[in-house]
Amino acid sequence: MSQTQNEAVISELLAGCIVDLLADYGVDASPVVPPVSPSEMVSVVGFTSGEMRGNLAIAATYDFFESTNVISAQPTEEQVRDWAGELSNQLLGRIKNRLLAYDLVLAMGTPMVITGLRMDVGKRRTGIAERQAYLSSKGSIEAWFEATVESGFVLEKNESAVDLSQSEGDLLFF
Amino acid sequence: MSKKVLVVDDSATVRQQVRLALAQSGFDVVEAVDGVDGQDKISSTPDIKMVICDVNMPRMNGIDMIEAVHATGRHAGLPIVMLTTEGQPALIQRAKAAGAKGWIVKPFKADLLVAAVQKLTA
Repeated sequence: MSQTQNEAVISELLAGCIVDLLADYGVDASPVVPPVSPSEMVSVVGFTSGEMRGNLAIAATYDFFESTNVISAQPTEEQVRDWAGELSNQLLGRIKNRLLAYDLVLAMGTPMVITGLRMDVGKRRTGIAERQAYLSSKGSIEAWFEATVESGFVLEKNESAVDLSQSEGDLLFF
Repeated sequence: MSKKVLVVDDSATVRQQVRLALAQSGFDVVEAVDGVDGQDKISSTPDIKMVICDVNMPRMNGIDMIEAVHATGRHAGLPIVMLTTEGQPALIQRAKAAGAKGWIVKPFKADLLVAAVQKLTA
C-alpha cells in the first residue's frame, strides 16, 4: 500500500511540475505514453533525505533543448548543456518544494548533463520508478524519477504544511 | 551612469537571463559563478549597488555568502535578493536573518525582478 501511494504521489507531482515548468518557458506539453524520440541529451540531478534518495532526469533530443533555450535563438552547445542542467534543476526544485507539504525535505545535488545516442533508462526493480513522456511543438521530452524509500515511509500530505512553500516567480520582500 | 548589479549563480543560463532582463532597463550586470567568486566581486567592485544570488552553488552557497559579506561590516547595507529553486521556509528565514532583502523562486518574472532591483537601488 505504501509503495503504491508513494508512486501515486510522485507520479502526480512529476506530471504537474514538468507541465507547469515548461509552460513557464512557453512550451505547452501534453502527456504521451513513453518511450518517445531517442534521447541525445540527459540531465540528471541527485537528491537525498532521511526517508528517500534517488535521481531525477530529463531526457530529450539536442534539438529540443536547443529550440527551447531561453537566452539565444542559436545557442552554443555549452549554452544548450547549461540550459538542460538548469531545467532539470528547476524541475527537481519544484518537486522538492511540493514535497514540503508531505513533511519531506530533500537536499539536492547539482545537475550532470550527458550527451550520447539513443540514451535510455533501465527498468528499476525496487523502489519508485516513474517514467513520463510529453509532446510539444518543440519536440518530445521524458522525465525519469527513481528513488529508494525507507521501509514504512509513506508520503502523506500534512494539510497544515500545504502553503509553506513559496510559489515560483513570486517575489517575497523582507 | 548605469547602476551595477551583481548576479551570483552557477548556471550561465540564469546569469544571462538576469543580464538580459536588467540590461533592458539600463542596469549594468556583473557576474559571479559561486559564493566565493561573489564575495571576491563584492570586495573588488565597490560601486555594486545590489546583489541577486542563488542559494545552491558549489564552493560556497548563497546564504553563507551573505553571512560572510555582512559579517565584514563594510557591505552591511548592500541589498541582496535570493533567486533560487529553494522554497523551504527554514532557508528563507535564515536568509532573512542574514540580511537578505527578498526571495524569488525560479523561474523569475522579468518585470518583477526589474521592479525589485529598481526599488532596492533607488
